[in-house]
Amino acid sequence: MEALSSALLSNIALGFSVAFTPSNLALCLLGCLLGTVIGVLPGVGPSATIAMLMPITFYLTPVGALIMLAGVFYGSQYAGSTTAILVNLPGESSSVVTTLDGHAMARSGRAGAALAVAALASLFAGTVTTLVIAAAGPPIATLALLFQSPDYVAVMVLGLVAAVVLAQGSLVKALAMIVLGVFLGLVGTDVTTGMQRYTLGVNALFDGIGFVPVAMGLFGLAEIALNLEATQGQGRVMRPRDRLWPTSEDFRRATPAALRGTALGIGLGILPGSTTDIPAYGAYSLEKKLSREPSRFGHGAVEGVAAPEAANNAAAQAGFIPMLSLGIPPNAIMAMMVGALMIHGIAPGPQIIAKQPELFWGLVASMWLGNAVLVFLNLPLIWLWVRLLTIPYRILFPAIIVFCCIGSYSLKNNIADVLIMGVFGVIGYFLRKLKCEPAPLLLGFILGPMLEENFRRSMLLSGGDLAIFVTRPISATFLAISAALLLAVTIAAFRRHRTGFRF
Amino acid sequence: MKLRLDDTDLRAGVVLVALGISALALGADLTVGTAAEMGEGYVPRAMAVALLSFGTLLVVLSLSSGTATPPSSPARGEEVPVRWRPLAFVTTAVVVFALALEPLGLLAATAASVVAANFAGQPLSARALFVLVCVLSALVAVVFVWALGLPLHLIPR
Repeated sequence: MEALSSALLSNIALGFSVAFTPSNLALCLLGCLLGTVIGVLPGVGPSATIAMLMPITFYLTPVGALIMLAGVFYGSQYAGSTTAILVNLPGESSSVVTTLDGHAMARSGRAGAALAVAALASLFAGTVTTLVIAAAGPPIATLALLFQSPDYVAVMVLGLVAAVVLAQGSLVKALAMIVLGVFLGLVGTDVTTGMQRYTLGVNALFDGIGFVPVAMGLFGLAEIALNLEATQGQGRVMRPRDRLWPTSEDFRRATPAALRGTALGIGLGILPGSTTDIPAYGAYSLEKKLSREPSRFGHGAVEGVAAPEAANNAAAQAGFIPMLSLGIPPNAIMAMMVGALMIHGIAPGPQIIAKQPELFWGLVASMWLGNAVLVFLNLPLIWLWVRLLTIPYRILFPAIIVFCCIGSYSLKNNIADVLIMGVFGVIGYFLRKLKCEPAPLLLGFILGPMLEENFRRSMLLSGGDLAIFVTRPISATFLAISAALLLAVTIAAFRRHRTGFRF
Repeated sequence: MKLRLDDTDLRAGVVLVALGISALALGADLTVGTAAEMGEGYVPRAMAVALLSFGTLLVVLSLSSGTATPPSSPARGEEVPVRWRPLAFVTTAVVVFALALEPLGLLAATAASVVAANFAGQPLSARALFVLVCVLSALVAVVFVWALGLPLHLIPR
């Protein structure tokens, strides 16, 4: 115990001695500011923001570069939550969940409270995760080495099941949306056989359909059309009615939710290959399950903002363990961080914690620093973001469309991505008309290729025997949890079915 | 007893069946292979079959459950019947931007897109629209081209 706590202290001290220099603090502040300002532009998500700003960091020291990128990451991530809450436009897949209750809160005039809860829940999760990584990082890194393809498949299945549990309305439709998402994710050139699938001879589809055009179409464009339609072309008027700061009632509800979200985020985030969206979805559905009034969710429940924001942040930070120890970036953002490391001549791998402790712990400390700086920068600025709401929608929506167009074009400088976004806008509109949720589709879309890859490898490993998923203890555990969750919602749906609700 | 169908279930089911069938048809020439050695068509075909099954299940459920199926919490906008104008002009704005960007440059594409988008809602007055076009073009030029240095040209090359 004493050895553990002294190791923890010395690791954290090492990290902060690296991160806490005046120039690093300045870089962090600059990163946060730039990340927020660019990330808050609707349609420019964290990955696009980091990609745009990465060239600036090439001229810095490795630690300085990472600290600035950490600032950009938190700035843009929080800006993504901000647009999710204010205009229902998630910057990244993980803030899709935040739109559900965050935007509902904004519509009922509580945008300020939603923004503050999101920031504080993130900081809370970041602080706890930093401590956990410092205490348990190195041993967990060795545990993660035990994961094999079947276990990855089982983890992803759990994530998808969580998305079904989360979906409102019909269970069958949610399952169908996941399947449709996985299918769309497979469009393009198959990595194993090199064959093209469903590209219809269109060049732009050879590399698959991009995440950003799909997300902006399904959520951004469809939302604009639906909004205009429902209000006879006026657009919704969202005025913050109450005070900006959350009430004590909000804090009472949000604190346990943020705690559970953090725990779930750390637990799932250390798994290699895990994304930050699965913990966010999982935390949201957990809160919905535990709540005494699940009907509040989707209508502005503060837990529905606090839990996924905490989980998302905890997972992003815990994701550094597989990223640095196995070299598997858990998501697009971490992939860019790995890219930045490699540009500075540092190859991620199992040796990094042992051989370059100042880098590993400096990184952990700088992530926390980025988070803290962000909260202090943004809490006073909440009034400014809320003021954005008073811009009439008739002026705002053409601007959002133009930003979305530029955003999808700038990814690959390809006109086709803009057109693909337009197509998915139409698809998203009709899905909503058919009462099908776009969120499970998007999750299936992201996980589709990974799922296929690992499923294929598992089957190769077992000679085509599905039993491999239940004979391996890790995958069996995850599948058992998935089955139990699915069974629980099915039974609940049947009960409601008898009393007049639908399946 | 009055028979009430939730016809979004029925329609969604039909759409899914159609998607499943077209996925099977379009992927007919992909190699399926065996579980141990999957071809590129294995997982896509499994997904197509799943789409078909879920679609059929929805159709069957919606036709068999003659009882009332009150919508569970309806999300916004879904209860409104389809109005083509907003969707058509939002999509037009995107297509116009895409078509104008490379030949005409960012400023013209932005202006054309904003003018098209304006028809999706309650149109602004000509003067307000002009101001919006000017402000947005300037903003876009400053933010994306000048500050971020995206490789976009402002005017026709």
